[in-house]
Amino acid sequence: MRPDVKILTQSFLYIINVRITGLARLFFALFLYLVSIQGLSQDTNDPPLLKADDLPGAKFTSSRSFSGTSLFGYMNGGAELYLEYGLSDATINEIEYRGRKYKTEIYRMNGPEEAYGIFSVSKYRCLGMPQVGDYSCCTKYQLQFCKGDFYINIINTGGTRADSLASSEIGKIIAERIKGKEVELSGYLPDVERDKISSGAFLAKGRLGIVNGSPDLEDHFKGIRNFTAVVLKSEKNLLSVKFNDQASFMSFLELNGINPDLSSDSAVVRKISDMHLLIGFTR
Amino acid sequence: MGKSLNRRRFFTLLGAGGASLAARPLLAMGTAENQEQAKPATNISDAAKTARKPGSMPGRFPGKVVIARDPNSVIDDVPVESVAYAMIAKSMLELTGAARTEDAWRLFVSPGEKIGLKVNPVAGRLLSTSHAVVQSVVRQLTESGIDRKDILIWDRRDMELKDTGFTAENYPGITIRGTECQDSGGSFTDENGKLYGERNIDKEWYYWADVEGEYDAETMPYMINGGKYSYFTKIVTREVDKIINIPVLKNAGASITNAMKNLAFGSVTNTGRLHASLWNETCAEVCAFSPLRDKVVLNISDGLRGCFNGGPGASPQFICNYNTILVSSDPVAMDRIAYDIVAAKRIEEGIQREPTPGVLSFLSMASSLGLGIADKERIDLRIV
Repeated sequence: MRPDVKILTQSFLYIINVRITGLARLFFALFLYLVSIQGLSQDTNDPPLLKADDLPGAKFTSSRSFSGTSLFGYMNGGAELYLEYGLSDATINEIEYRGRKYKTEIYRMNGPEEAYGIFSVSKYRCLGMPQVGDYSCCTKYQLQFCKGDFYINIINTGGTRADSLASSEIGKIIAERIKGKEVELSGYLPDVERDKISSGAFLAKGRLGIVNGSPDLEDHFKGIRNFTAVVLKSEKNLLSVKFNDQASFMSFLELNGINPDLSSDSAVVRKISDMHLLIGFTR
Repeated sequence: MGKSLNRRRFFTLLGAGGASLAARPLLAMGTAENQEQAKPATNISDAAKTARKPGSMPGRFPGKVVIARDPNSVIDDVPVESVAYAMIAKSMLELTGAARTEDAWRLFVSPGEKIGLKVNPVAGRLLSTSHAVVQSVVRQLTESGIDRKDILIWDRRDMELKDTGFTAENYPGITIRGTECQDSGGSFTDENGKLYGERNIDKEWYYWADVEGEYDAETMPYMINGGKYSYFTKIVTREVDKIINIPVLKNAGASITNAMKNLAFGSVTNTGRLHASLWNETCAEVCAFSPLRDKVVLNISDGLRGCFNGGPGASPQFICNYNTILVSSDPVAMDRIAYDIVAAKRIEEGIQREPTPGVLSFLSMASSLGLGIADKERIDLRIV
């Protein structure tokens, strides 16, 4: 139960203690508990939208929402990538703030991995990684970050320092409203420091993710499905790929000429667990 | 590059020392090709039932592509109309060999014909077909004797056209229409609950593919119908006599979205089902049906600003100034050249290591359908 609701419940119970019977108290407590759960669930499920009083003087000029495949209504061809990762819904707002125009795209993905995945494949040549969300990347016209199940993209049209500062301000407000746990990637890349992972790893959950994030690996995933791949390109290039089913795992082995009897680590292909490989490669 | 070499590069030593994979017994090699799933059937054979016309795709100048470049065509990330106008005019002269721009245009269009300009606003204001290019095309058309009332700017979505500035205010006297549309209250449906978009499709013309489109109520307004049929918009089947295709130069993964994709996916309904398994086939085959094959006379690719990754959507970090316009009557040849431009930029930016023209299977399909020339060696490329 949330602390504020717990205090409220206790206060009510204290006040009416002398007036109601034990059974009635039980029902009343149950009622308040259910109300609190409902409230908590709304906090978790509602998109972390900006409110009118968050940005004094801001004008919200447009708001659109899309769920699942209706994202085709926002980005015709581009929607496929989001759907491949696993999109729940998206809310697109346009804002005029301090005389400048901003667009916020709030994508709720099916989990933190999915949110990190779409973030990782979208970021490029970050000019900075401001402390917004779990992972972030800012460029002249864009601040993007992921936190919990959400991938957030804040686009400005001016490309100025003032735009970057305002984007950061907007981003922090949105980030504060997001609850949820951070993506855990260390299981994919054991023995690699978090900093290295966060600065360079990208995560794919299908062919489009591979094509967009690491097109040089496309041939190695042709026709392969039901996998999560984490790719880290640094002094040692690593591909960690985990399959959801045995058939997909076997197809990958066959496509890439890997011995299915791989029972222990080799110098090239290391078996992390069933249907999960760590592979070294050159670019 | 051969598959075996790819594999050698793929599997290298994970750590220092250790045995290489080459020492291990390998399974019989599966190839990428045999991993590909069988493609769903389509009704492409129906396309040939309508006889071609003298000007049918690839039009008057098969295999000829003109590239115009000007570093001053984009200033502060905004395309410059006067420069775009000059680039298009020069390209038209080079393409046709005409002495005057008006004469060049009149090889493709005539007064009294309804001319549709197929733009691409799908990525929104960040990366739509630029007004610099579209206004230049409109000016050159009117200077060539085409009445403004005979020009129609169109795309799939009325709302995206408006959002990106294709409005009566900016284009007075010109009709602007999208197949998918809303009323002034924002509703996609009329008083009977029927999608407005349904009124705009022509069920006599369709692309059938053995892939079911299944959409929820929220998605349907953007697809108009589900099932296995993708109907052509009446804009192409009934409303225009000629089409000038004005795409934006963009990547689509390691491939491109330019002339063919702009036409194909912009002209039919129920496209959501086609992206995943029939992207290449759709780009080629939809263009083989008469409403596009026999009406598209010219392609002007807006590469003043484009993107090299993240396409076909617009991600600011991947948008770049190509400062380029391509002109051709042959959309296949144009896309082949456009691919080289995008691939070079992707290599320069470190997105990929080398060209992968294998991604252009839609062009070889289009070529085999007689829609244009995909073989680069046979393309007559002119740079002005």
